[in-house]
Amino acid sequence: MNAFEKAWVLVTSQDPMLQNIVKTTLEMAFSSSAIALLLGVLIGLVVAYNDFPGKKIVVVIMRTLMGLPPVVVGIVVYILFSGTGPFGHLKLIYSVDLMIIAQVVLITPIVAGMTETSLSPLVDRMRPTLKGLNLSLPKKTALVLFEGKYQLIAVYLFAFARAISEVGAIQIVGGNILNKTRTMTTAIALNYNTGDFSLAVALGIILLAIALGVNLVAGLLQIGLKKRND
Amino acid sequence: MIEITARKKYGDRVVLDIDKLRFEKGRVYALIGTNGSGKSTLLQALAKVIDFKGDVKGLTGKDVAYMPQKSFAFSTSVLANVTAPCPIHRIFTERAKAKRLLKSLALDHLSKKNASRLSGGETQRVALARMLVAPHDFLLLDEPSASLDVESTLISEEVLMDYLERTGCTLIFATHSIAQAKRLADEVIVLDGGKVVERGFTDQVLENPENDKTRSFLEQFNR
Ligand SMILES: Nc1ncnc2c1ncn2[C@@H]1O[C@H](COP(=O)(O)OP(=O)(O)OP(=O)(O)O)[C@@H](O)[C@H]1O
Ligand SMILES: [Mg+2]
Repeated sequence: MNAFEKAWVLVTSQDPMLQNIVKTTLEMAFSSSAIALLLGVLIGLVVAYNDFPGKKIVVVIMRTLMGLPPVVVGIVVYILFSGTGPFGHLKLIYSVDLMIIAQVVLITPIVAGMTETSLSPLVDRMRPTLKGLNLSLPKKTALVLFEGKYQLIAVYLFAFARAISEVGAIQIVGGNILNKTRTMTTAIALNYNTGDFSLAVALGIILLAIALGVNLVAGLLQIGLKKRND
Repeated sequence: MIEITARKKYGDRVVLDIDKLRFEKGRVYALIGTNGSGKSTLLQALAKVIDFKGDVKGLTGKDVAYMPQKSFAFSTSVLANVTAPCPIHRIFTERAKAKRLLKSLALDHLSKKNASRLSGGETQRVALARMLVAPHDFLLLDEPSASLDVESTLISEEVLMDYLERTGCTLIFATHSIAQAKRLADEVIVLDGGKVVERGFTDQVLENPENDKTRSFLEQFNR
């Protein structure tokens, strides 16, 4: 059986183990990318809109944090939340929640950096008008987000792609426990380690299919918004 | 009354240097001067959309609306653009007002159109409507009819004057049209190199300028 056949068999077999892995993956990827989007867009927007001393330094720091190594984030989050760590009492170690937290730490700077970079030119063009109209903060925010909707969809897709494909951090803080914290990527890594290449590739194909689905939805959303815009 | 003292530098160049310039309530002021003389910068300082050294006295608790030289049109309908400054809970009553305003500016046929797709002049008229939908204490307009044709200019001026009469709002606007300054302004302020070189009643400044810079500036219009 080649990997494609195996993937097909896996998907059609309604294997409860696979279903659990997919469910955990989606929960982790959607939650963490959504939270990171919320936080990151907020940070990116605040930096893009406001002029303050040290802004350039903040931007450089933000862009540097975009390259945070997942394994390092995993280890740091692990230490913070392990039994002896400051957040140990929360008992989150080896849970999906902690995987989401690690992913948020990893992806929020990426969203913030991308938001700042992609919305800055737009914000610069809008700023005099927004200030001149004395709009309330929520209104200004809503208007900028609305004008930047295409860029933000692209930012979200990138965040989601990172969330669903990441393995280093969630492996460490989630522990890759079967039926609990095992995701598609950690399962792929495990199968690769045990030599089951075709299962690893089959899982990879399913993962790509999910990513394709999300991108298609986003693409349709963009087309729909463009149509309405004319 | 408001009083502004402002100094603004870009790099090493001083582009605005104003000392205790006063504006009386309910009057109309035209800012004139060559390109780069500081008209926009002065309006930006008054509107506090830029940082500068100095301060504006008399603006606390006052409502100041500012229209930049290049207004941004939101990519929503023209009507939604005009009602953008209105509080959400009053949006329905404000809509009726906005529609009347669009009609008076001869823009009602565009009210459903996406504002980001408008021509330059149309955008500018929508931006003006957006300024006039709510009452303000001070209206700062940066070349409000720079891209308008003659008829649209006259219509806009009429709507604007009507607004000033109703609200008692103070208007400060920049213009390159001496004729427009004559039609609208009580007083003219002439800027050059970021400084006020002359100010006074419109007829006096435009007919009998005292300052050499004003005179040479005005002479260009007779060529
Ligand atoms: N953001 C900026 N950065 C650097 N220089 C600027 C900036 N904004 C304005 N200036 C400079 O400040 C000077 C005054 O500009 P300002 O826009 O106030 O002129 P203006 O009188 O409005 O001219 P115009 O009639 O062309 O609109 C100009 O020389 C301009 O180059
Ligand atoms: Mg200007």
